[in-house]
Amino acid sequence: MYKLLLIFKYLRKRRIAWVSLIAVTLCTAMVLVVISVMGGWLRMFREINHGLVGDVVIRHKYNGPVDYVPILAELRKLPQVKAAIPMIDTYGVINVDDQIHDAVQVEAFGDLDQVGDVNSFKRGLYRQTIQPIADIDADPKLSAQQKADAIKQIQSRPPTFDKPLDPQAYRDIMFNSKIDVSKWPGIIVGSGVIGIKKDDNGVETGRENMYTAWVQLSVLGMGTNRSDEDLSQRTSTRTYWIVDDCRTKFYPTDFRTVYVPFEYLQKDLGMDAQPYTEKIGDKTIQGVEPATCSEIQIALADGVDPDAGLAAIQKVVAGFQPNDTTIPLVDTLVAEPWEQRQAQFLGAVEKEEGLLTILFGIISIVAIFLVFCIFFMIVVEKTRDIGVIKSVGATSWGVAQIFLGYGLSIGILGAGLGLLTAYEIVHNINELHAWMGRALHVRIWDPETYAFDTIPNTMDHHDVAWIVSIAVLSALLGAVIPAIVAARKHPVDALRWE
Amino acid sequence: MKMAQAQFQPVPLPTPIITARGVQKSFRMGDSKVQVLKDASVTIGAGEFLAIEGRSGSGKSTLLHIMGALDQCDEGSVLYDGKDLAKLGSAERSRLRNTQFGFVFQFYHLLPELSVLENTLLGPMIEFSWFKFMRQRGQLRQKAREVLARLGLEHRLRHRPNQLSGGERQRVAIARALMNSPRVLFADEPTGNLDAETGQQIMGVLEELHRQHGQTVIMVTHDRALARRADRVLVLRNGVLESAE
Repeated sequence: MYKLLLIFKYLRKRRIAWVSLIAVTLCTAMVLVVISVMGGWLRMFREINHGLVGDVVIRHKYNGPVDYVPILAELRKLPQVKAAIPMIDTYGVINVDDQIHDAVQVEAFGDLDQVGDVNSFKRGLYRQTIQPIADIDADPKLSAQQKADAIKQIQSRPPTFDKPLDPQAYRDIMFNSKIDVSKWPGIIVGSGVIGIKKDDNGVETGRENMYTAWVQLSVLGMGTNRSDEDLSQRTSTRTYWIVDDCRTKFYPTDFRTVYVPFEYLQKDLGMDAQPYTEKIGDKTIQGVEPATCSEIQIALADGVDPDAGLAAIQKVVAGFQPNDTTIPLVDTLVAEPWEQRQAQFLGAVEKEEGLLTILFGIISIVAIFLVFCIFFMIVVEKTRDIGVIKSVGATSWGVAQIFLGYGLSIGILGAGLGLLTAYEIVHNINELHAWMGRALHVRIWDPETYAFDTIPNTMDHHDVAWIVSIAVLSALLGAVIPAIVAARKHPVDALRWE
Repeated sequence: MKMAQAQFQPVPLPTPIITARGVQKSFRMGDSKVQVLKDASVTIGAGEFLAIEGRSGSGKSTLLHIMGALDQCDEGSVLYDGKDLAKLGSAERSRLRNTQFGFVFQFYHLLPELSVLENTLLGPMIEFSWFKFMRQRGQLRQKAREVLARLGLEHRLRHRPNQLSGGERQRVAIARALMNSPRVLFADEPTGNLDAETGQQIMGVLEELHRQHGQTVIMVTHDRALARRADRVLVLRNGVLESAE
């Protein structure tokens, strides 16, 4: 009983202990904020990178072309596979309305009806998905069920490159043109490519007149098996109308990627099926080079174990490896899980998170030392009281418990206050950041550096549990030596202490 | 006739409660060793008021601490109720200090964070677990109030030590010492830090406890006049206890 009373009294009256309380609070809050932001960042990274490529990717080991048609046919027979699409990616140069000249990554997905099942491309389309869903959400006339049904319908529609304006509108834009410009195909641009971004108030700007802009895209096709080919002949330029913009929330993708119809890009790169004639000695051989793509993206069926699904796909891929071992670069096709495909991004962030955890762990040791110093001072200051308590019959263990309990209380209070502080900061971090931008012109979170245009603002329960536990244990640890010193004090020496 | 009757009356011998035999204690002061108690022996009866007189530094407080199980002697023994204190474990000695002994110190030694009532309740709070204390809380608080009222402090229950005079603080210390109804009350220069008038009041309290309630009191003091108010006075001189006569 006396222990609880003294702990309570010391907490209230010994203001120096408040310094250790503040230290524990600040350290807990700091570590929680950093781990939450970093952890959230990593979760977003994983989620978005997963969304970019699907569950499993089949690609050429050295980024060569993939003869996808027979492989897709086999893959689609597998019960473990929900959907699979061919995908082409390359680099190109764009000219947007004579306003923007830039180098971009060009992507194209085949079998658009399955794209929504495989990756997050469809979910990020503003005109086809984001805006209609927002409109439905904001419609007061619709019931919750009607809204849910309407949203489901939008989500189930495959993405298209259909143009938003009628043909005459395009002809009017280019009224001097001698060709029918309304026949130009559609292109979807990454939101950052044409400068769409959120201002300090979180409002997206940059879509004005977007659908009246044309994009000239030049890509360079690779030669196939003909070393004497003039590569300049392979450069292909095509003009498109912007039909939508895509926001995957992964900044490097959104800032540098355009999406075009699969068949156009395949043709422009010379990756479509092409007949050829070749003379070997006296013989003339005629054949067809098969259509190729850069990679096949696969979604596993619901409930399929990722390892089992991968193994089944790898088995299919093994059947398409070249049998002729005299050909260089045999076993050139690889089927790999999405984590491996995106390892260059994920690994860097995971290491960064680990490094920051270590750094802030070291800072937390300072807090333990601070608690230790303050408690030691309190023990010295309270030496005579320790003698008094012992003279009235308290045991050494009882005295130790007072200081351990004191440390524990400071740990619990400090960690609790730290958790509250961190919760408020993390859940309002984007608003705080926006406010800092407006009021102080400080912009700490640069999306170009951190890949996302919003700061992660969620806390993981596991992270919270172990950080709060460590904070409490740290305070307790800081109190252990002072508690032992207090317990070992001889009552007579303590009573005589001045 | 009267004389003859007096000769045949048996003299009641008090039951010994504390017996010290050949107690020795020395302290290290730098490289040298100072022996403060060389051969201190005394038997104290239950209900006795014993004063141990001595000059400053004579070792009287040390002897009091040894008899009160706060310290241990180097040689010799101290028996409480026939039990050798040196043979008791740390926890048993703590329990003895909590339930059998009460201490009053020269500098009061009240806990500054606690109120008068809380300081008085310190002994029971140490004795009982939280649940047991809470169960008996009402009774214990009532008892503390009664003890404090007996010492004239009923109006000071919620005050903190720094809001009290020296005499009041010492009375709180006495109340704290009496709270667990100790068999022996040890008083170490109880008036040493008080003015003469307040010192007399405190002595009056100790005398009253002894006379009206049969409280065993062992007091050490350097003040001969105060010491003479006890039943028996011993002088600690050169580490040995001698009769004052």
